[in-house]
Amino acid sequence: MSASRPAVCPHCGGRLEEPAEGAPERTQPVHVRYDLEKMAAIAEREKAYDEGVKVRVTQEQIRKLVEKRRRKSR
Amino acid sequence: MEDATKDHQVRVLIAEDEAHIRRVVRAIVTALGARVVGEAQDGEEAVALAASTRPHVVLLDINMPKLNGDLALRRILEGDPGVIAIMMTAQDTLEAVRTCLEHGARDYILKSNRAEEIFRLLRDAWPEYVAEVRGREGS
Repeated sequence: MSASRPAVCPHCGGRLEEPAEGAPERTQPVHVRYDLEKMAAIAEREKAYDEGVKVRVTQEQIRKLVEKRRRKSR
Repeated sequence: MEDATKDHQVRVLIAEDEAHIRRVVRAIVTALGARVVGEAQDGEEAVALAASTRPHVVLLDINMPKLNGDLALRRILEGDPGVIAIMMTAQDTLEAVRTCLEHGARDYILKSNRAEEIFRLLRDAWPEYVAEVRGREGS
């Protein structure tokens, strides 16, 4: 495989096939079509389990929220 | 005499699957003059004990086996809307806190606080709970 051609797809990580003997080297980038609906569904699904992206609440934030609700209910 | 004293105590149910947290919470509410009428280790047990012991205050962990605290909260309040429910959790998002408050929780305590801080939070809110319980029972 030539140095200019990566071994795996830079978008999906899939292994690329060796070019056929004598085939011209591709010099233009490959335009990949993404299924945006599928990606949105995956992102939505993973969001529910990705604890890392959630912002944790502090007791002070809770205190303010409780106080605000209490004032509203009066 | 002992029974008369018990009658005037705020009845508390503790629902928490971690035994050491239950012990801390029991010590705190007992120090505040309350009587622990039940200790549940999961959400289903919490709902059953709330129905049988009729507590004034329920301290509910969010992450419990069988039935989570949020669902247990709703079922307990369906049985007795007057129960003062205080949620407890190790860590959560503001959205989760907001959801529990909308479902009727009175307050929300992070278990990540030190025991002294949990005591302070409950102690500061306790007079209001006691007054509410007395008012309800007197009416």
